Amino acid sequence: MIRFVMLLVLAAVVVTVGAIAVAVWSTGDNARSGKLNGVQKVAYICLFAMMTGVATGWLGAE
Amino acid sequence: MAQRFGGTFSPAGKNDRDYDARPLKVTVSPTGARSNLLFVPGVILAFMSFGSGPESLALGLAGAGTWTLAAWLTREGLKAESAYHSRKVARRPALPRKIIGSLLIGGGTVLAGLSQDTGLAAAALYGVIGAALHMTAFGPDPLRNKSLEGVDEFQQDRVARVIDEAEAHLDAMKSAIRRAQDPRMEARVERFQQSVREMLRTVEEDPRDLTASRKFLGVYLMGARDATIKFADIYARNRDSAAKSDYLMLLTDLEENYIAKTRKLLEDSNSDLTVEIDVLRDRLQREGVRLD
Repeated sequence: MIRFVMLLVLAAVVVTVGAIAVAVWSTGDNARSGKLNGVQKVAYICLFAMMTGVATGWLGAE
Repeated sequence: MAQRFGGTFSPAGKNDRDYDARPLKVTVSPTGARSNLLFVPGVILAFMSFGSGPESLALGLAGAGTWTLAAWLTREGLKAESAYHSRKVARRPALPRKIIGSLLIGGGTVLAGLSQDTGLAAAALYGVIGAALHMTAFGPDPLRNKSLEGVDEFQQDRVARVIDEAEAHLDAMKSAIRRAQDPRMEARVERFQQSVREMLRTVEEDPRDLTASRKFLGVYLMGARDATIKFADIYARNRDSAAKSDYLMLLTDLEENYIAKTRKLLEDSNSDLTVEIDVLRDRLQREGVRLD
């Protein structure tokens, strides 16, 4: 249980760091023209892969 | 940029050439494939939920619905963000759609994980990671109102409200003319809207112009919208060329008036600057400072 809570806290830190990273890197012409920067591209690919993995069952509990 | 219609040898190309004088600004959709692709995992999840029992089906379908709602909110959030960035004075979006989208991606991922028997701990972790990745990929919504330096906030609020109404009229015009199913007319209306938007940007930059342009951004624009709705209904019914020519003349008249008014507003701003420079020069000369 403690390990689970620790993991959740860790993931929450990832959320915060991600949001700050976006706030810093997204300012500028790219954000205004709707283009993704490098960090956003990698995050998008990971997000899509994770959603597809969970949906199909490729990403399991182990 | 090439256009598929309206060339010299196209049907009615020669007759309609006179109103194609001004180049049409091309606008790129802010949503693009990246937000549309987010709908795909929801569909996959819905299909994969069948055949694993009722509990898994219910969880899977709920997850798919949540993901679809998140993808839709993300798309709308990107549109709202693009509109926010394209204006100099703008209020923050009333609903932080992308942030809610991130939370829903997280919630949907938990439901999807549970439907695939991953267990609550793993599903919750996937959910948090999903929300983080979504937030990183799309960023948060604009959370502050955007305003010009040195301009009264009350005036800027008034301008923002009038511009919101004007944009709503333009949107209604755009969706009405689509009913006419004539790409040339759609392009013509878009060109007219371009001249209206030039006036909107001018008023945004100098809210003092609002009083002078109020009729143009309210009554005239509402009239143009109503005329467009009526024209689209008539033209879609019987392709009436007389109605088309009347409507085109109206658009040309309106466009010329909008362009002339915008030019006048800009000239007034220039004369304001000249007055300010003259006043400053006078004061400096009175103080004994020479400007050569």
